[in-house]
Amino acid sequence: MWLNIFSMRKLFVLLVLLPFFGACNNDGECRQERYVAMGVKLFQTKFDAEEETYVITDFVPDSITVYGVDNDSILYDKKQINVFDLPLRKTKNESQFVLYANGFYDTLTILHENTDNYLSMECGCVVFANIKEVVPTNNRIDSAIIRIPEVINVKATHVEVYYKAD
Amino acid sequence: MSVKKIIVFCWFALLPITLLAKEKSDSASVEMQDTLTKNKQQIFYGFSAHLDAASPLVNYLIDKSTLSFEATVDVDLLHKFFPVFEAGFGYADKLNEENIHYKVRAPFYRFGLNFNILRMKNKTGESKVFTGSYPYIGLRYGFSLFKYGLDGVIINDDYWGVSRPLEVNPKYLYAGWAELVAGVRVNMVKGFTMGWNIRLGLLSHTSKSSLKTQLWYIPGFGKNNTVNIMFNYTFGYTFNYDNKKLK
Repeated sequence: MWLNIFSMRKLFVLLVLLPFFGACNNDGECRQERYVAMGVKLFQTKFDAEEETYVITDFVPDSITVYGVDNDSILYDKKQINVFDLPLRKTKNESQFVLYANGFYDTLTILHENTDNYLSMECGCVVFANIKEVVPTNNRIDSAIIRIPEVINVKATHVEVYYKAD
Repeated sequence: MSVKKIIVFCWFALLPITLLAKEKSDSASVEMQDTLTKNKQQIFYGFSAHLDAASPLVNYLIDKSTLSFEATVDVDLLHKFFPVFEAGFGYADKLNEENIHYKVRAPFYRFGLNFNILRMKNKTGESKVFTGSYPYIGLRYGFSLFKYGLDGVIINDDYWGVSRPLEVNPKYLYAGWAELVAGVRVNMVKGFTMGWNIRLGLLSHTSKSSLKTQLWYIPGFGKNNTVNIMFNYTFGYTFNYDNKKLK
């Protein structure tokens, strides 16, 4: 690209206008997802009389209330859901939640290892968890299994909870 | 007035000065014609040393918690190619609204090449005289090895109603980036030169890519860790045997 001296004016104009295209400045807002919670899905074992065998189906209680043990704040109140997220403790390696479904209480105890992750000045930090064990009470819950141990977002079913047959 | 508007205003204010100086240096071109023809085979024509006056001001205007100084040395090869070495020092001491404190201070370096885009021959094919004033485009690779520190980071567990501090140990990191440069160098009088340029910094990378987002400020690159626009206004001296011919 060769320019004579008169073309310098065009260059000046170009250089002066260029900053207006520079809209990539850091505006101090966080654009990363910071909410991390353990995804849970409920299942139930049912007896299929025709096949004379037990089958596993999604379990949607008529009403389920979920809250943390020693915590007054209710996460889900009388909902008709079978998929929900539970916020694990960021400062301890054990989290407990009460599941009150169709008039029966059960407790889920989750043992997990936390990993602190500093993101940036705008976003602060997030805490990821690695689930080691899930221990349910067996009032109405039959068992719980870990599907995805790494809890790094809320877009997954990390734990499946199996309720007993009616 | 926004920071961007202030910067653009400053550029406009500087334009008449550089244009005026350019016209003065053109008038000296006739006297230098003989010298040029005598030295047709010459490759090395001298070198320049410049200090940047803009980066401390621009950094301060954009964010008062940052500061940057830099200087430039370039070599004149064939009046066309100008290998450049730049060195500077960047500093940031930032406390944000959430009381996270980011601190870094380190030197930085850039090297690259400026290319004189001025047409050096007239319509009849005769060589024009190089006056020491020229517009250019260029490329740079910049890098800095620095230690940054963070404190005041708090982990808030909103649902469980507790919080605790997070220790982030100071880390050493290498950061590099590329720059596209466009600017003007003007010979003011007898070798005293000044100029300005704008730079588009991009392709930044760090020795640990997972830590890149942690960097609020990279010395020599600036606040944003992906794309940046920078501005330099330099003044200095060009050591060139032709200086005595300039008025």
